[in-house]
Amino acid sequence: MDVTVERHDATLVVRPHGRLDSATSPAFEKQLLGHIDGAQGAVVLDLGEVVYISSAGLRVLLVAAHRLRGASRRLIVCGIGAPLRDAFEISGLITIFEVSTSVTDALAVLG
Amino acid sequence: VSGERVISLRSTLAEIPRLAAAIEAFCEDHHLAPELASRITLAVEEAVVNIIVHGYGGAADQLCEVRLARDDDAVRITVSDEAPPFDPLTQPPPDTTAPLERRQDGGLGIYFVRTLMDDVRYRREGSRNILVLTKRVAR
Repeated sequence: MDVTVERHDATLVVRPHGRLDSATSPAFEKQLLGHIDGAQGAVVLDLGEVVYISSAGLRVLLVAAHRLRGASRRLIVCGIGAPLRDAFEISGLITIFEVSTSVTDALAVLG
Repeated sequence: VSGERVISLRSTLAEIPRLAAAIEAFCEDHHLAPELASRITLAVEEAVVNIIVHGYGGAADQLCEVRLARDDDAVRITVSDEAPPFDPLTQPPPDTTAPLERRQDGGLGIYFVRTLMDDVRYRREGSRNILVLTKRVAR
């Protein structure tokens, strides 16, 4: 599990790769929260390179979402492909997160 | 292809990738559709993680066994452990319709098991917890 990060003006784009399961999520949580705390402004979380997510991975997304909401910063999640669809739908997260199809769309939404 | 596959795991999250790979290989051997395979993988991973984290409470040298079997009309997964008696089906489901402000971070694991499988049963047998997951499969 690797995480790459890009900056587009004030927006942080965070892109994890691989599996977000119980074994990898603690490291992902540390990295994601570190990037969030080291920046200001909106965050785009691109899951396009994630091949699998379990409840442990979704928990990390909820922790991040709560932290950003507490700081009045926006979070847009994009790249939720077929392998992740079940987990997002069953958990209900697909309806509580702001979702875009791609990073380009997410950045356009953020203006 | 017939027969069972038995995966013996130590009670540590480091075993999860090996578990997932073994389930994926089983599903491939039995020509199960990729969507079905990923649902089974997710459900079994969640059941095993629950045992490792809650059943054994972090003790890493305990055993957990996953038995995969393909019947005519279903895949049956039997997960057993020797942790103290614990019926995961008594956990209340999370409120998946709550808005973000009122949404808890965790509590999704067993809910995933119940939602992804067609039938989930718990029993205590001697010193073992036994959880049987059934997913129906078209012939």
